[in-house]
Amino acid sequence: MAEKKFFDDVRFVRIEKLKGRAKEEANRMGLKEGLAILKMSINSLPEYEIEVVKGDPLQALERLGLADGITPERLSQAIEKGLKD
Amino acid sequence: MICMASLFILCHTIFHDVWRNYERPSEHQSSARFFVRYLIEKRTSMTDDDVIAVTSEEVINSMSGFLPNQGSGQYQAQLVLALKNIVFPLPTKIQNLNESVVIIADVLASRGTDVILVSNMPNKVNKIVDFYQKYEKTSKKWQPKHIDEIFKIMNTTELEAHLRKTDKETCNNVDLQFESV
Repeated sequence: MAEKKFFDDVRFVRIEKLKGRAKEEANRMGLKEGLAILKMSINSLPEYEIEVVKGDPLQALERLGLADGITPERLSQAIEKGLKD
Repeated sequence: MICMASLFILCHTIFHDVWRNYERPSEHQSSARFFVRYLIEKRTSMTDDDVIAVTSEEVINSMSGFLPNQGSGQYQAQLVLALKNIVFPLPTKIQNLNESVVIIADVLASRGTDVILVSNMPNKVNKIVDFYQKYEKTSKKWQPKHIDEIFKIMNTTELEAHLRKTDKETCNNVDLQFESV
């Protein structure tokens, strides 16, 4: 099983608006434009990972949750629990 | 932080409707999901400092505190990190999820920000009136019209219709992205 990777920041971005090393990473992947998720982890220098988003961005958001074992049902239950507490 | 013309304040019901169990659908589920797609689209066209939507830290915590794999306390789920970059969490001293977003709406509207409280809770206006009547120390008798003078309240169905009229370009981009598989 692959080791879980920790990220310090995760955000939706437009590939064409990226600069610096994130842009270099996009160039390395052959990406020019469109919606993507930029994941950043800070070790010594920040490391950037880019995931292209095709189709529904909300499903892409939900896939981020699934990577941590968070299903939409679990989110809904969590909010309901928060209301009861 | 730099705010756009209208700042959306999201009540917990929006997240609840976005991710509610499909066996218990809400009349607002489709529009709630559209609205989050709209926020993602809008957010990616802005700079890091721009804020289009906020919620209370308590609302985000209500989700993230219950989630699995939070581990050492340092770790935050990718979904929570991404969500915080779409809907900015603001701290309040209020644990109650319903009241915390009203506090934020009151504070920001009082500073002159054009605020839209987005809630899919039935009778939200009456609940806010009850809240003001509970704590307001003056003799002012709160009515829904008084709330309307402070900030707007919309559910996501109303808001989607409003956005499709007032921000056609972004809405078209949302539809195009949704269909671009």
